[in-house]
Amino acid sequence: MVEVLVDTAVRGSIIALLAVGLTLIQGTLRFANVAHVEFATLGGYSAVALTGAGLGLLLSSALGVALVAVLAVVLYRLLFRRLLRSGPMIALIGSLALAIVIRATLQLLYGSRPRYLPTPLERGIDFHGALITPSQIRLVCISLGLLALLALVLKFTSLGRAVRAVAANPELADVSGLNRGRVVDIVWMLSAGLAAVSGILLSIDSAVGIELGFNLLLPVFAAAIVGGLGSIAGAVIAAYALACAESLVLQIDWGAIVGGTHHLEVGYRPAVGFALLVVMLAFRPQGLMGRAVRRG
Amino acid sequence: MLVVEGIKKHFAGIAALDGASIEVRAGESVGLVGPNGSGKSTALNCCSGFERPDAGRVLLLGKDVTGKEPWDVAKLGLVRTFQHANLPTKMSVMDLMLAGGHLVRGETIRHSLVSWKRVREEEADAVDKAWSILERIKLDKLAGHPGGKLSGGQQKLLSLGMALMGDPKILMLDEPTAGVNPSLRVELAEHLRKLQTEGVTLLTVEHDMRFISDVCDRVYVLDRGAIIASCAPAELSDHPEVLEAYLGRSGSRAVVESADRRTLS
Amino acid sequence: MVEYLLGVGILAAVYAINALSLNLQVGVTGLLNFGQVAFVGIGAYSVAILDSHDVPWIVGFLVGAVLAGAAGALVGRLGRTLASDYWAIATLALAELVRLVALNQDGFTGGAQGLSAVSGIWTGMSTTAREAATFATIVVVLGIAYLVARRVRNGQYGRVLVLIRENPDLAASLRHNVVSAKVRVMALSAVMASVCGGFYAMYISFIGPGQLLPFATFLIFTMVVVGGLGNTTGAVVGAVLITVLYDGTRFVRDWIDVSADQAAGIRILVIGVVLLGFLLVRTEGLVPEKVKAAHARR
Ligand SMILES: Nc1ncnc2c1ncn2[C@@H]1O[C@H](COP(=O)(O)OP(=O)(O)O)[C@@H](O)[C@H]1O
Ligand SMILES: [Mg+2]
Repeated sequence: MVEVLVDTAVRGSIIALLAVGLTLIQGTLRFANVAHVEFATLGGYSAVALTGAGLGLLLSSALGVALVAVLAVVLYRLLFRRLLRSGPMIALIGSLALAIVIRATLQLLYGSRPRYLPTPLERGIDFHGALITPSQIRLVCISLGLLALLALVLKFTSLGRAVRAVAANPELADVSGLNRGRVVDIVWMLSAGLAAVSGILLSIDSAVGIELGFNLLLPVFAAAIVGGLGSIAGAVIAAYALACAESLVLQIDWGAIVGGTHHLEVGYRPAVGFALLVVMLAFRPQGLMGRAVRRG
Repeated sequence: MLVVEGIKKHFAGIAALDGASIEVRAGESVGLVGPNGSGKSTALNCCSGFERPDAGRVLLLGKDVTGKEPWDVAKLGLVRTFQHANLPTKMSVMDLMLAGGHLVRGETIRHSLVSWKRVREEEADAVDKAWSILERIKLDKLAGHPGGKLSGGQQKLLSLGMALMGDPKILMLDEPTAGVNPSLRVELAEHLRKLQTEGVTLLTVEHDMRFISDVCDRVYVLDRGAIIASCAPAELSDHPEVLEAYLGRSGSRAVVESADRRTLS
Repeated sequence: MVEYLLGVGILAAVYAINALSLNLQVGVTGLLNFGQVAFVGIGAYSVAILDSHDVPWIVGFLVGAVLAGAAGALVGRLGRTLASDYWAIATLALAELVRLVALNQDGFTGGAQGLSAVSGIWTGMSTTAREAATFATIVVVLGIAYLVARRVRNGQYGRVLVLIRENPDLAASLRHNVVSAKVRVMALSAVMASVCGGFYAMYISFIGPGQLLPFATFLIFTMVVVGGLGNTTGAVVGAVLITVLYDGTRFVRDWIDVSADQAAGIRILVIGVVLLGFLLVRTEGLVPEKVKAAHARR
């Protein structure tokens, strides 16, 4: 049971950091960015590159996050703005294409074998039968701290108000004298930065591979959608709930239902997210419905 | 024909419709007027199945159609147009007209693959009908143009033409003259009157009071989601509450002015 | 050389069937199916599994078509309440579910090893003649698929589908059942995709979960976009060009000195860049969707 708890905290944090970014972009641009999770992969590899160049882990991580944030704004200006002008469908296909391009480029540069960050070997702590590593504790604390910080920024600063104004009504924000372009830039930096943090934390905890982001795509979308897109709190709660569900499904002895003892094969772990996503989309699409286009 | 009983509709706290009741008898031409945001379009949406009312009923030809799918309502003979035409740029005017038609065979995969000849005959008949309607609304010269590239007024006319392709029993028009050339408005009014004599029932949402008095036998006035008056178009100026609705609280200056000009003069 | 060309030709024709199917969904109806490979997989596995039990291949095709058609209809119905981008994500999730099942139900699908030694068609002939006969057969099937797609696109049903793509409310107001139209087009496309999958498994005489990766769908998207979204002929043109390009890059290691891993990266990169380039510079593709001329007066 403790194992489920640890599992939920670690995986939930990773998903949550990505899901809030996805939700922010969706809120401000009304567009589902499939390439969002690739910012996590990019974060991991920038840390690999920078530590490889001899920088310390902490400095590499900070620089890596900054790099990814800047890259995100450049991509938005050069690419997404143009794609979005051709309509949401083209933008969605385009973001998928960008994701593939990023992944293929990384494979070209680094190969498809996983890379490890130079982390000091630390002894795991035995916590009521479950093994916790210090890096996992740091991962959860940093994530929760950043999520709390984000919530505070969005709630109490003028930037937060601007973001919420754009999210509430993308067309109107211009009129009320807000610089919409600036707000959107900042949202891209914020969400890509959080994604990079998530990627680096995950790389430290295990390793970084070209599929790091893609493997998180569906759980992250599931969390963002289940949380009711545009809702930061919803996305965070849904992320931890999803992680918990994934962990539980593997732990539960389904024998009670099918007879004998029967645990689901570990290979099906990702299926939980997919299934949850499909079921949620099919039966509880509130907040993510093709919201009645204004038929004025 | 159409009976609307006390429909209510809320959007995130605001009441777009607050217990409005409307009745349109067969063969009648009825107008629906009111300031911007008073719930006229929402009322049409509720009647045509695009919005499910929170309360109240909609009866069409004696059948309860509350909350039915839009296509099921349309199949009973109710066709509506939209305030914003938004016609596609990838379809020609003729294509759009045919899409408005009722080509039973061509619409099934099986028939369009197997019985080519019957499908072609059906389509040829629809093409004839489309040409004659396009001539009536003076868009025949533009039949090959992309529908979405027409002017706003032409798009509204074309929407009407598309609606007519399906031989509606009742036609609901949402601001049919918005953007339409003033000289064409008179003609449009004549068309609608002619349709009425051909047995089509009409419900028209409109800001242009002259047009309303040309086309409608009776008018409902909607204000803040409730019907505040029902009378002949000429009697509108006798109702103080109507004037107040327009002059007192209306948000749009244009509406105030047009109400001034039309209703008071 | 002849055999190589025939091989590419067969692959192009198989992919073209797939592209026609995806074009009906994405190009004509605007349904962004990111899980197309699942329909292909259903067809391919049906043929392969039944073949391993010595059932005639035609039965495998029929079973695959029925299963895929049913799956397509269900996915189409799911589209009911969803905004188009979430529907796209949902289809991706469904395809991944199908792949996971293929990967984990070892007894049935051969698990990670997949099913090999799927017998092809024209097994009695010698190699080159057999390739030629296979090519001819698949071209005939492609011809039929092309005619079906074209008739559907150019008739009233296609008109309604395009109207649904552009303005679904308008379509609904003109008494077109939007849900039923989507369900039917999804079922039809899924059947076409399953046929493609059946031939694919028979041609490479193998099917495994590695063939069901999302990249397989992405490749078809590239074909449809390059050819021209919404244009039936474009889908075939795009399929041929991208097949030649993707197959040609197999020889990248003959040209530059890279590891196998990097070579795989380059092949994917080329496809991704082509797709992104077309989306940015020539969104309408090589053969753009046409606005149909008005029918003449009688
Ligand atoms: N889909 C919707 N979501 C939220 N509010 C809506 C929606 N449709 C209409 N409204 C609101 O309902 C009220 C009535 O709108 P509408 O029926 O369009 O008025 P009218 O057509 O008379 O101008 C307005 O305040 C409008 O903002
Ligand atoms: Mg209105």
